[in-house]
Amino acid sequence: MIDVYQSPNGVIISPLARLNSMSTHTMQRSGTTEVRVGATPEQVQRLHRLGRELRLTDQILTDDVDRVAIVATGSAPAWTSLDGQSITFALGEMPEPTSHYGIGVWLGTNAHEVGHSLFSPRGDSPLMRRVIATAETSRPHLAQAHNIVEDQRQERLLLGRFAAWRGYLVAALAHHIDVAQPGAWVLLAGRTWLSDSIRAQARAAAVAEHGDHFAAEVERIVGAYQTLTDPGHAESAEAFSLCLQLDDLLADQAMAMPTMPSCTVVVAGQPDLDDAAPAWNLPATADEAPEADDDDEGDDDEGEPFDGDDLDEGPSGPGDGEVEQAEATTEADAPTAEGAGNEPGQPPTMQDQLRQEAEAALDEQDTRADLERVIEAVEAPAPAGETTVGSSHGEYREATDHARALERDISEALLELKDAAEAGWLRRTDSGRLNVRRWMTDPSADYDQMFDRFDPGALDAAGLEVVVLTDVSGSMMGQVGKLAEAVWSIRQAVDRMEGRCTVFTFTAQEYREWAGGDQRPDDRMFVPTAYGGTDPAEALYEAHRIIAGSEAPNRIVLILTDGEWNKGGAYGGTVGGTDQQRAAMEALNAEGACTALAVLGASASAADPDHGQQITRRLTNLDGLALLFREVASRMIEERLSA
Amino acid sequence: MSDLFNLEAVPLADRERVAALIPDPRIAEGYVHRDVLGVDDFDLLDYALAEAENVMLAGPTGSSKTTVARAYAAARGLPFALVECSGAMDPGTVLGRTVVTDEGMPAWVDGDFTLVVRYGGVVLVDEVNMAHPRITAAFHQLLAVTRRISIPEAGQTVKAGSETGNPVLFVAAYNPRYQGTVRMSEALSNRFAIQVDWDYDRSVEQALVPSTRLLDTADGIRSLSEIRTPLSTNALMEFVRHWLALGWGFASGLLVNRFDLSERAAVMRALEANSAAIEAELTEALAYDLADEQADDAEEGE
Repeated sequence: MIDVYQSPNGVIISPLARLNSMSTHTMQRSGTTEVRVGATPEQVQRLHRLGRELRLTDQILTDDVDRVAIVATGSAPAWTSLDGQSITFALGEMPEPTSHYGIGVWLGTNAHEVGHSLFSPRGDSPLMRRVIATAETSRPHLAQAHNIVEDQRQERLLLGRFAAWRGYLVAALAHHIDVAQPGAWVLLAGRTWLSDSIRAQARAAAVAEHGDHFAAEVERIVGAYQTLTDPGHAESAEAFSLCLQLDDLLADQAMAMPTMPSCTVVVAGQPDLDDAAPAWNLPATADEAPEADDDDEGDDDEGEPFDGDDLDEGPSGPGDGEVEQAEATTEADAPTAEGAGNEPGQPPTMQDQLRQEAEAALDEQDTRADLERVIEAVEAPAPAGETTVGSSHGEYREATDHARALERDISEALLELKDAAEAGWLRRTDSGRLNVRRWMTDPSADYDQMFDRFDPGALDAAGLEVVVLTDVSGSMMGQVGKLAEAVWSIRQAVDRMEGRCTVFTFTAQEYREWAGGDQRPDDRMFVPTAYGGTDPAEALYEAHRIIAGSEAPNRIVLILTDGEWNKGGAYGGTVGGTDQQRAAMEALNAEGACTALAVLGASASAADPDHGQQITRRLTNLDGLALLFREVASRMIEERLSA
Repeated sequence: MSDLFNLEAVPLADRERVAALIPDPRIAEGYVHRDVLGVDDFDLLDYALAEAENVMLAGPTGSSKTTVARAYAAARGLPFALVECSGAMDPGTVLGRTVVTDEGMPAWVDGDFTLVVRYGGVVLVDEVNMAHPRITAAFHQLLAVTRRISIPEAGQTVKAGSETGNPVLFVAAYNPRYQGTVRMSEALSNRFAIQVDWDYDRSVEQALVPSTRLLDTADGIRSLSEIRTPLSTNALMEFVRHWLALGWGFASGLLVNRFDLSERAAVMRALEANSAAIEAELTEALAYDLADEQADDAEEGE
């Protein structure tokens, strides 16, 4: 027999592969989300969901990004790894992901990093090697100068490809860039997709501080760099020259490097040069845009920051509408910016205007719906609506090879159970499959009861309801890895049988939800935190509530523990202690569930603990878990046959 | 009238049922052929039919495994029987069942599968790796060189096509993404002389879905192990039809609703990111089609 399965690295291995030279099956790509911040479990869970949402979209839209991490602090709000596969966010630089605006900033910052992954020269390109070498020897600010122009180049390309992301980028800029700083024009000259009033004010400030020549030179350099299609390789000489020119220009003015939304991104490999956006969809470059001049405010025609000839053909590129909307905020009826330090009645600051522009962009119908979906995904209650307890404490890791192997073994055991269920057969019908035994042995039966018939509507007969209770008391400290693998493999196996699997952790103090019954497992493996004493009584009652409410004919309650449970009422005589534990277990047995106890670890006492469970198995390693499931399946099949 | 199938050879009692199994020839008209190792897919099936070789297609849900078999049967005028092995497989429908006659005696009635085996045509066994072991055992006999099936309840042994001389083509399909739990017998696997991967085919999809960006996005979605909901070619074609009739919001909403709740936000965001490009490409394709139609009308007018 040959298994058909997916290998740990996502490659489909099938018995046909050897016979077929095409091998065109879509390769399955996995990914990871990591949250490494000091926060409550609930906050960590929310951040994890947000990170996963960002990663999934990034994976769909790019070939490289496969990991999103959120860490406490960093030198920039976000950065991309050397190999281009990982985007990391610094939580301290990011807003709370609870409002439309906050989520918009996260999406915009992520979009910016996706732009680097898609379009920026890699670390091993001639340009980057030269920039880094020069920065290390003679020009310490050259890498930043490169980053300034590259940020503006790749964002233009990004919006050419994903025009709908403009609002997110505006939100990210509004949050990360101080547009009131003297060098703001250096950062905004090429971001022609911002409203012209903001850019005009930044330019006017640059002119006032450094002169018209400076402002025009910034425009020229940034614009020239933005037109490069392969700055890393084919056009590296020109790209390097432009970086030097910007570095010189800023040095001449003794200008400090403006703060930027991202640190320099140096990624390996090749950017996506062949699949750049069509020219008609690109925002203008800095030197293509009409001169940003605050004297033009209110003049719609002259205020248009894009090349009208180009954009007329674009389906939804940023255009007049956004410009007019943003300009309106500078008129007398503009709302007074609050919380930005300006007095009531005073016109809003540039920062306020940018923020208002971001909020207006985020308020567009499709964008707002998008944000609401993300908020829902991040804030959704634990998927199992049937429980009200908090989530288990712990962290997510990638599933191990051992867990995947274990899953197959458990699945086989459950498959036996499902096969034996003869799902969907109606007995004693008037047509269908002739029941020969009934024909031979029941002479009094009439023809109308001589057949069995398959009824797809009765398929629930094979239904599977599994509740797993996991002991995470302090003594399980060394076993949490095993618990994680065991629960991951059980959940996957039950999911493949189209069953429901609810998992709880328990200590003497509380029980918490690890996974809800309606929550489908994914590639992440949850590793619980061990703490406290051991009393599963409440968890057993919760399991009983689920089992009693289930219509599935196959019902299993499995307890993973290291042995003895606490004696005496851990809950002050209300719930808990051996009597309550046994009563709960007996209630489960009476409900028709198969109750099984898996005793993990060498520290378990010699005698099998007896809490009223039907099956007990000591597991020196997790391979025994599959045997336990086989025993459970055999017992349930036997009971069914005898009934 | 098919060159490959002689309906007149089918006994009168079963002729009407067999004729009803021949798919409408129009099904074949819209079918987009694919290249299989340098051979046209229908040529490959013609060969398999003529040489009595069994065909196994391995591909994800919605990659047109069923469509190719049905379209081939439609194109060649052959009866077609589909056996769905996943979930709700009814052996009564597959093999047949015993009924009580007016005289009060049990009598056997062929299922669609047995009809096609008996009189000729195309049998597609879908999700063959999900078949109940007892059904798999029946297939073993049928797929062997002898190509026969025993029906103990009817007291019959049916040799494929022997009663009419019409050819029988066995096509099995399975989805390698339903991995892990379902094992395929090597003996069963070895009975398929022609085994081909039948993944989503970009050239086929390009002929049916006029948006490269939509297809790129679909490929990105399909590539992720965490997104388990299949995204079929048909779903993309429906998206285009819905967009044309009722606009982006409706079409994208319906497409996203196909996905599991935990997958929807990411899928929708990826679609929205590409909305401008997808709509532009579809608009351009639509304009091209209209221009084509107008040119045809003008030619007809002349």
